[in-house]
Amino acid sequence: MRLAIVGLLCAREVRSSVRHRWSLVGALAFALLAVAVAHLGMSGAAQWGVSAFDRTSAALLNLVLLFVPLLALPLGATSFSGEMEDGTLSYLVAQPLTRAEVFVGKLCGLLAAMTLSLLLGFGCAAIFLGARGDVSIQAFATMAAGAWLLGVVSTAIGVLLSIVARTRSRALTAAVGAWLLLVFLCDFGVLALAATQALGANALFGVSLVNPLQATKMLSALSISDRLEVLGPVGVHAVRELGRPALAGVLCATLAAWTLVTSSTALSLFRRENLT
Amino acid sequence: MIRIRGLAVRLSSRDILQGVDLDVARGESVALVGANGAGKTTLLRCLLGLVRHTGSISVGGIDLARDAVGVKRQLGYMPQVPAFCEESARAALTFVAKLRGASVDEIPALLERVGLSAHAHRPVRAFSAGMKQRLSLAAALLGDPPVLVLDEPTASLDVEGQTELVRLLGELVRGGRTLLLSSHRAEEIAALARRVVVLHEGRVKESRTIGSTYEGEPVLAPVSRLRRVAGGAA
Repeated sequence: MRLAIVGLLCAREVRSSVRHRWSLVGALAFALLAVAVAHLGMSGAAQWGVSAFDRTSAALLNLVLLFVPLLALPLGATSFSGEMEDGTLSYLVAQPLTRAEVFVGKLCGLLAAMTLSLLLGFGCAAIFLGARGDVSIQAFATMAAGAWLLGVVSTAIGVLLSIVARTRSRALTAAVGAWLLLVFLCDFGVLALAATQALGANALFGVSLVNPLQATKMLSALSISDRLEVLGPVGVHAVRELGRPALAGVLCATLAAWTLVTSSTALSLFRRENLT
Repeated sequence: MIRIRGLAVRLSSRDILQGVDLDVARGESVALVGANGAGKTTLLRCLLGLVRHTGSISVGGIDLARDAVGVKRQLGYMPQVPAFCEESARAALTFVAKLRGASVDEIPALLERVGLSAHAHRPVRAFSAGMKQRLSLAAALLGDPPVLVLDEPTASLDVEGQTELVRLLGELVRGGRTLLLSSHRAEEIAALARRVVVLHEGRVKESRTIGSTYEGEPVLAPVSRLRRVAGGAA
C-alpha cells in the first residue's frame, strides 16, 4: 500500500466532508450543546452544592453517547454510497490504485473529519469549563478519548452500511436505524434478556459489551468518578471481578474489536463490489 | 494492445457478457456498438477493474488479474458523466495527476489542448457539460497512457460540444493513440472508429472494419435512418 496515495485520498475526503458541511454542522451543534450542558451542570452544582465536574461530566457523557454516533454514522454511511451513485468511486477505482488504497484513504479521511468535529465540540466545552474552573483535565481528556473511540466505531459501522446499502438514501436510513438500535433498542434488549432469561452478572456484562455505546459509557464512567455506583450494577460487578485497569483494557479491546471487525468486513465487501 | 478472452459477467442472476473475445491492436480505434443492455459499458468496466468477471484481460501484455494497477496505468478513462468534486479544473487535474503518478507540469499544456486554459481556476461545478467532458479528456491524458477508454463520450453533449470533443479525439486517433469507445452515435463512430464491434445480448455479433467511405455500412444505418425521419437526404 502506497502511503502517499492513501494520504492524498485522505486529504480529499476531509475536504469533501467539510464541503458537504455535515461534519461542520455536527461539530457546531455538538459544541453548542456541550457548552449548554456544561453551563447547566455547573449552575445546578452551585445551587445544590454537589461536585460540579461530576454533574457536568455525567451530562456531557450522556450527550456524547447520543450525539457522537449521530454525527459519525451518517458521515460514514454517505461516503461510499454517495460516490457509488454519482460515479466518483468508479472513477477513482479506474485510476492506477488498488481498492485497498481507496478504502483506507477514504476511511482515514472520514476518521480525520470526525476527529476534527469532536475536537471543535470538546474544545469549546473545555474552554468554557476551564474558564469556570473546577475541571479535572485528566477526566475530561479521558472522556474525550472515549468519545473519539465511539466515533471511530460509529464511522466504521457507517462505512460498512454505506457499502452494503449502495445508495445514499438507503445508507442514511440504515444509519438512522443503527443509531436507534445502539442508543435505545440494545438497552431494551439487555433489559428483556435480564428479565426473561435470569442472566447472571457475568453474562449480563458480556451482553452489554455487544453494544459499543455501553462499552464507551463504562469506560468514561470509570475515569469520571471514583464512586462505583455511576457504573451501574453490572459495571460494579465487573470492577470487583477484574479491577479498574483490566476492565478499562477489556472495554478498549471491545471497541478496537468492533472497529477491526466492521472495517475489515467493509474492506472485504468493497474489494468484491461491482462498480456498475 | 488489448486482448480479451472468454470474458463473462453475471450480475443479478443475468448474463451480461458471455464468452467475449476481443483484440485491439496498438494505434487502432475500435467502437463498441449495440442496443442498451448489450454489454458495452460492462465490457469497458471489466477492462478498468470495476466489475468482477471470468475470462482473461491483458493490456500491453500485462494481465489484469495479476497486476490491475499496471493495466490501469496503460489506460486513460473518460466516463459518460465526469465526476470531479475538486474546486477548480486545475485542482481536479492536479489530484488525478498525483493519483496517476504523472507530472503536474503536464497540466498547463493539457488545459491548453482541450481549450480550458482560461478556465483553469474556475469552479468545475460552473462548467457546462461540454467543458466538463473536455476536462475529463485532459484528465484521461495525464501520464500519456497509450490507450483511451471512452464510455459514450458525447452522450450528454449538445451539437457544439459533440463537435469540439470529436475534433479533439480525432486528433488523438490521427496521432496513433489506441481508442476503445462505446457509443450509440453513428456520426461519432464514423468520425472516430476504424473498426466496429457489435455486441448483442452480451456476445460479439459482428466485428468489421469500416471502409474509407461509409456508404452501405449497416452499423452506420442510423445516420441514414435519422436523415430520412427528419425528411432530409437519405
